[in-house]
Amino acid sequence: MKPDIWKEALRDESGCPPVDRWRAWVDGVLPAAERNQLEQHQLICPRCEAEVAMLREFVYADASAEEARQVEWITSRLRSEAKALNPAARISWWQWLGTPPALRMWACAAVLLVVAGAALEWRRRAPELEGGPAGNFRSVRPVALLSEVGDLPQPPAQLRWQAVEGASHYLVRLFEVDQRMVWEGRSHGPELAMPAEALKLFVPRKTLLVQVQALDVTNRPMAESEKIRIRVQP
Amino acid sequence: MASELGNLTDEQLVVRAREAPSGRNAYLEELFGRHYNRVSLWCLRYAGNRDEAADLAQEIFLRVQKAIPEFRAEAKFSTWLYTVCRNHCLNRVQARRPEIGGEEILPNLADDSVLDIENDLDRRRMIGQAKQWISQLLDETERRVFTLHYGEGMPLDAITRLLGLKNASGAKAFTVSSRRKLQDAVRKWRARNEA
Repeated sequence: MKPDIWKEALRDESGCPPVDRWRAWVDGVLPAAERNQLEQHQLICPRCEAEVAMLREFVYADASAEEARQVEWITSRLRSEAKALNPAARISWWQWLGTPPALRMWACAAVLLVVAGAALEWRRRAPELEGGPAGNFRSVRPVALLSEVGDLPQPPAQLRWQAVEGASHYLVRLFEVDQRMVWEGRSHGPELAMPAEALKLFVPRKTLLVQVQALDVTNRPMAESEKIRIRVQP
Repeated sequence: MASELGNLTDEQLVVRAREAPSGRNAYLEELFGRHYNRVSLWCLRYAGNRDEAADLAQEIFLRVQKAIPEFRAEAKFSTWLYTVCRNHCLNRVQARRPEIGGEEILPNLADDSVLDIENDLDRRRMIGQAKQWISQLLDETERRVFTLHYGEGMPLDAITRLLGLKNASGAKAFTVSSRRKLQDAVRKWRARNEA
């Protein structure tokens, strides 16, 4: 028997119900007669049987805890890429106004006035809050990176920064230039040996941004660095 | 706007997205957002690592975006999305690994030197016989693994993850037992025909 007969047997679609009928079967919404017909077909058609197994996995699969973490990472990447591809969606508030140009101008002017007012108020109050006992507002101090940054001949094997008094631990994050976070690591001291999974993100010519955040014992940010550019030269 | 979108079905979102002036829009954003997890999980299990899975998922949504005009509203969007996912993943793997195919995978079943089988049975009967063996001799998991790997060209590690197989060697064990059963059936069948 020639092997292509096997392949044809496994791919033979003659008389196979379309996938949307199988979906109705998987969802349990078929009338009894059609349900029986499909079940009979599955008994003699390995292709449809496998198709149904895959379809069921696609529609109803549950992610394990580890898978859920990875799926979250993938979906956050999808969302940020969708935003980059879809500038129109980002200005949808503008479409939402749905008003003549003159009214839009007035709306813009009103927004500018509110922003300017808020800024003035913030400047007026900031010194009081900074020195105040327990206000809701907490100023976040800067963290200075001590490692070499900017254009580097190779990925940074270690990152160092100025210790922050009272910090319980530090969070180091890598971002793409579009501000999408691609990696984060923790350290109890003012340095972190970059693990392999972080180092492999430093592709030659690709710019990444690094930020260090000092956290207190309750995980509240006490200080943070700017997002600083690192690029590995080719 | 957001709550209005949230009340629409997938299929209604597709219709609105088609009517919207620009190609991609808030309707598609909402529609795709509902399926990011599903597609991401499928791609993760297919690819086995999150970077490749993210690339696959992005390609799939780009493909779906382009193909939205082809979607028939009488089917469920998620079913259509499944077919796009499945086909895209399979095409990608087959483009990379063209060696996956029956000729290389089933050499031991291909020996027709003993008997000129093609002259004894027409092609349809041969296919029917093969299907019968697969259906009757293999157990449920063997059939699924055998079909997905040999018929669709799906990699064994992807099958292991997609079917959630927990045994030590995953899908490979089921291909081994399937081949053994089918080879045995072919041997007996040849012996009958020779006699």
